[in-house]
Amino acid sequence: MADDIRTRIESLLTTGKVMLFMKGTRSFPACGFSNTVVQILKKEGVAFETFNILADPDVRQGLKQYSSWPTYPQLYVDGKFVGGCDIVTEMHQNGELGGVLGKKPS
Amino acid sequence: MWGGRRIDGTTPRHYFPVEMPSPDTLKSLLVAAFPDARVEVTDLTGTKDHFQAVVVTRAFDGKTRIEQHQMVYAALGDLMAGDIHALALTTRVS
Repeated sequence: MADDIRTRIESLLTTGKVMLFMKGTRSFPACGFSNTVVQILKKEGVAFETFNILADPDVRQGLKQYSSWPTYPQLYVDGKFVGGCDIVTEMHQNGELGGVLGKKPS
Repeated sequence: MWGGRRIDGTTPRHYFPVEMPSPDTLKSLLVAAFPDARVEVTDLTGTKDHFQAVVVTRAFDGKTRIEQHQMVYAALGDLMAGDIHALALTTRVS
């Protein structure tokens, strides 16, 4: 991967504590799996940033290599890869996700 | 699937048949990578591009969920980069 793409990705990953790389935007998800993760993050009630990979082919390809993960959405917390739709859904259902997102136990 | 002549009379560039992966193709790739595995693959939409897979193998022992999914993606190789649009994935240690 070219260094400039890697540098861009690394700075994007830390744009927000919780970063969702998705198809479309949080208001207009362009894929059911991306929409699922947006809805889960809203339910968890945490602040999150989104990045529309459909609008940026370089990031779209580069991030797949960076994370060894071939599909979107991809969720990152503090720059660390958490998972795609299946893993995030499972963690939401079994209650793990709140802790990973840095929510205080209520 | 077969391409054909467009409504405006021109012929698309890919007029040859494009082989889409079947559930059996995915299953054989996964069994080759994880010989002890129990593998179930379902074509969710009947269009050979949205699949659901369950993979249960000892090879996942000690791996995180992310690593388990990465191992499955690696086994499917180029199919993940193109022909497969979606793969709902469940992995478990046997």
